[in-house]
Amino acid sequence: MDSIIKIENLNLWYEKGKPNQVHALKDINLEIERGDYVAFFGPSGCGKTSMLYSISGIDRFQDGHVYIQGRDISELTNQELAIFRQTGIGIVFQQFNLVPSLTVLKNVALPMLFVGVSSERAEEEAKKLLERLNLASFASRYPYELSGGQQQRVGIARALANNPPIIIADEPLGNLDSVNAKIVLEFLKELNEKDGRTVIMVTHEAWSLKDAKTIFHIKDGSVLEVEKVSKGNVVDAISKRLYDQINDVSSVKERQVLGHEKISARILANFLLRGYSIEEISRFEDLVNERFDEKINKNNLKDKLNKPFKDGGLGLWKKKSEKVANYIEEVIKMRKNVACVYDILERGPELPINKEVEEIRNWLIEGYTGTLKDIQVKAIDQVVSDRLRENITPEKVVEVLDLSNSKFGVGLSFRAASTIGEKLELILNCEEEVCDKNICDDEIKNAK
Amino acid sequence: MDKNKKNRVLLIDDDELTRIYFRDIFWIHGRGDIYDVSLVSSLEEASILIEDEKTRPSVVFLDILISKNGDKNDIESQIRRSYDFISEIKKNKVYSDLKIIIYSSQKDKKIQKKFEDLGIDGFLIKGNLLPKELITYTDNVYGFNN
Repeated sequence: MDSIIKIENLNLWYEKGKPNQVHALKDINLEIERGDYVAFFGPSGCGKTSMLYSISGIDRFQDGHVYIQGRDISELTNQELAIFRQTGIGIVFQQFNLVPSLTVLKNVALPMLFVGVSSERAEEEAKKLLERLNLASFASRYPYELSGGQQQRVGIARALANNPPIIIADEPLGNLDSVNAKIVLEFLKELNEKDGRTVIMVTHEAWSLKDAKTIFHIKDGSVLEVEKVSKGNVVDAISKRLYDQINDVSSVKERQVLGHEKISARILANFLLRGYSIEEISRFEDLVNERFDEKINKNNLKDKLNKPFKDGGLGLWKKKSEKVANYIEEVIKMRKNVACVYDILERGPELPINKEVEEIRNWLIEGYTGTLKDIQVKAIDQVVSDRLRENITPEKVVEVLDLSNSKFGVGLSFRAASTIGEKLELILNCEEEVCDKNICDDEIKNAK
Repeated sequence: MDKNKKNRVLLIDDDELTRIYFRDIFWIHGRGDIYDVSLVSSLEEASILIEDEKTRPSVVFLDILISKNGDKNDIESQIRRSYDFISEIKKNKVYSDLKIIIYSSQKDKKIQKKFEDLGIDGFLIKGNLLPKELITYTDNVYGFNN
């Protein structure tokens, strides 16, 4: 095996020897092949970012060895480490980390200046990189003038500045919408497949694993499992991981313990608050459940989402609080709609549910930026109807949405299929909801 | 030149960071198995390595502006010393296979011409070269990209 990175018995502690000591990485042993596309996958706080920072020489670990191209980086001097970080690895950060006072062009040129390249040559190269990332027209702008997606592409261009053989991406999609997330994933894939670079991505989102060839499953600072993903089984692997995540909270056992509303609140938290801490997610679930139980109204919920965490709120920005509260109202409305569907189906499993399905479908595809043909819309309706009638599993929903038209699927991207699948699951666990429309009886009468 | 054995490359440069950078670029880009990179900070140290057949490099990169303890260190003196150093090598038939590449920040065309007339094998301006271009250039000198 031609390893570009080899880790032996790696241990990393934060605040070692102090009462608040954290053993972040525990006896890690792994190898990464040259030209591989690797994902460190696991929940927040599991140690995956510490692993990246150990590989890139940002975190100094106390025990063990990290060999890059056969050389132990724990033995490098500060000068050697600085050169390694500037030329050996390109890091793409979740928060972009661009220098706000520099133009896009100068941000990309900066790493080259650090290693002695002249400003003329560095800017000439930076222009080429911006062209590659379709950002040439933004060269003279400042980061604050760019959208999140554009800033992340600048971040990728900067990571490529000194042509490093290893690209490290630390939750690179965390601050992006679905369209930009897809673009960034495509670039990472290109850097791996076309350039032959070794790509290492840290992620807690299963759908972003779609191009990874090796997945290291990390939990509590240890590698639990190494999964080699071949092209043939990639969809299966992702579906499995995605639904492991969802099923994690919706298994039969947990359904009995948590109740359906709490499951929806947790899925909702997973959907809306990716990247938040366990405490914040738990607080959010409580607030959502209060709203589901009608103990608070929409405005109370909005205020609580905005209130600082120490005062019993969640500390979201005002605009985000409003957005999240509105979204929860939509979910409540859709849950009532689904309750009506269940009412209808209880009275007659073969009764038509077209009107409800249409309403649900319109909500599901809200925010989808592509164009859907009539045949695709009909196919989505079929999937929704099948899921409502419990003819298919959540896994099958995503599979069919993702499958190409020629294979009788809907032909959406995996990201869009996953989002729609997750949204649908959000509104299905609603046995405690009551259909408050008279629509149910009307539907039945009409159908008869 | 053989890709299957280590090929000796020598850098002569009085700046420590440049020396580390030069050596580590070969490591970072996975050329550790092909090139054995030696680093020295003076022409005198370089002469010792070149004279000994066991340590003699096949390619020498050198900055023509190298200061010397106890000697004049104005630009002219530094250039003169480098010029004399290269002249001696080029005159000696024992070193006929030894390739010499100037790797310097000196951009003066007249100076460049003066060294080219000595029969050097290349003149690289440090600031014009991206890290990996240094590797590509070296691979070309050895004929590994052909």
